[in-house]
Amino acid sequence: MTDIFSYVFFQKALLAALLASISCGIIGSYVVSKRVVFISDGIIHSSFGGIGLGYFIGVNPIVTALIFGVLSAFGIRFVSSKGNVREDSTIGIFLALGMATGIIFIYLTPGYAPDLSSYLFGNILTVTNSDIIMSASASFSALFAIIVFYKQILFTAFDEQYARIQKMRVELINYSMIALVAVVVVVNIRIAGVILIISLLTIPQTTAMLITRKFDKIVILSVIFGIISSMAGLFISFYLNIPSGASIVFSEVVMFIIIRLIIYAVK
Amino acid sequence: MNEPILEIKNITAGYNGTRIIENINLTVYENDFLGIIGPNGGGKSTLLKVIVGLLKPEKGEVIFKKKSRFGYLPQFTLNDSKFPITVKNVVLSGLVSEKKVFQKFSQEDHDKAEKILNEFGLLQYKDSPFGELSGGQIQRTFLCRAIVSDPDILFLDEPTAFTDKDFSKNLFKTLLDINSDTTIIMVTHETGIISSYVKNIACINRTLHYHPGNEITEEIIDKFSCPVEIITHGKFPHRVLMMHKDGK
Repeated sequence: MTDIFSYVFFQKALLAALLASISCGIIGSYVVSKRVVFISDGIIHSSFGGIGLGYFIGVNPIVTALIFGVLSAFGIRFVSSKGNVREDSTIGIFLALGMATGIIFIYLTPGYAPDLSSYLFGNILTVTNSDIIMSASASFSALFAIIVFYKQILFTAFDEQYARIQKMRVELINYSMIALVAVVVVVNIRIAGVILIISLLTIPQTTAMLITRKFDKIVILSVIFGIISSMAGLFISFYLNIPSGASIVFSEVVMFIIIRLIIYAVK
Repeated sequence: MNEPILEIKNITAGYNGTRIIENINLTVYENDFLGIIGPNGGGKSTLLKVIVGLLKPEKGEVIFKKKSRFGYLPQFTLNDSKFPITVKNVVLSGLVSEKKVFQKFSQEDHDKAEKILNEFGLLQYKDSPFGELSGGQIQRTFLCRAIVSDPDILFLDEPTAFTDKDFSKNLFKTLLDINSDTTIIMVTHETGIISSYVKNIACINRTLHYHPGNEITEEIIDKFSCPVEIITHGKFPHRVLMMHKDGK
């Protein structure tokens, strides 16, 4: 048991899972409360276009995915507010367009894309130092945002119209938050991949909402549940030799079920 | 004569190119209690949205004569609000415009919010999730949010919808109390309830007609299809006006 902690790759994986749980726990609380789960999933999938571009031009795919993620976040908001297109339809278009772009770029890139599946499904055991630094920066940004701008984030998410009347900078807050969603999911893509990363933004939060309906407590509990389930997933992944992203998702769901059963038993 | 607090000049507005209100001119004076009445779809809420800045008018302007604090009670919609926010936090959100970006709410703000919740019988729910309140309690919480900042101008959009008689009584008692420092503009279609409290009436049906006091003639009613049947005004004798010809 203690042996695996001596592996550097495992230490990095633990650190990455911890950082991802912090940033995704915080941002996911916003995503779930404001009901922007689908928009977040759209951003994640469209950032795959950036991963393809990264392969094609030979730069770190996370960097190009960050650009794609933030631009598609703004694109979805902009098109649905100004373009007279409904938001869910806009998300569907961006999601498919981003994935299609990624597929074309990867097809055009000569040779085999070696760790493509780690971007699609996640492979926490392959995280690099630069991944850790980016993930730490995202966690710090998310923490900073939620502590310093707590009332702005809470009140604009709750009632945009009233926030406008109160002269709050609703557009600025909305665009900043959706950009932060994009950044957080993209830098943590190695944890669970484009396909599964949405779980870190939704399952711990939904579990937390079984226990409390207070936003600040949801944030804290989501981080805790995220840490517990990602650690558990990581160990399961290591010992059973299965992909980490999938085992983390299973751990999260098992945790949800356990908490739900406990509440059922207590009440 | 009180000073004007708000001037509306030549406002034309609507949604997606469909004009709802046209060439509205209105001056509201300090400490007025103005009731805006009119038929459904006549543009009552649209005008209110333009005044508070939620809807950009096609043309015209809204001029506030001095820096004013707003309170706004939006038209009630039954939505499935599972948003994780406590009742007290909803009321505190009415104070956010007085706070600097990084400033936290003070003990005084919390006391203020609790005092007003107490006045409307909601203190016991202060830490409850907002989503668990009944329709009437939600409306009361929103009213608390609208008046917690001691606004200079209070806008109310159909405040008595979804509430019972007790609430209406309590509401109008509160409104009369604060009217000495607060200008109140209230949109409603329930003229029977408001008529004994408002000082002036404006009738809106695409265009607006201002009725100073309770001087309403049959001709005005015909022209603007105001849904006014009975006007009672404080200590003055009641006025009973004719039914509209189209029965509205």
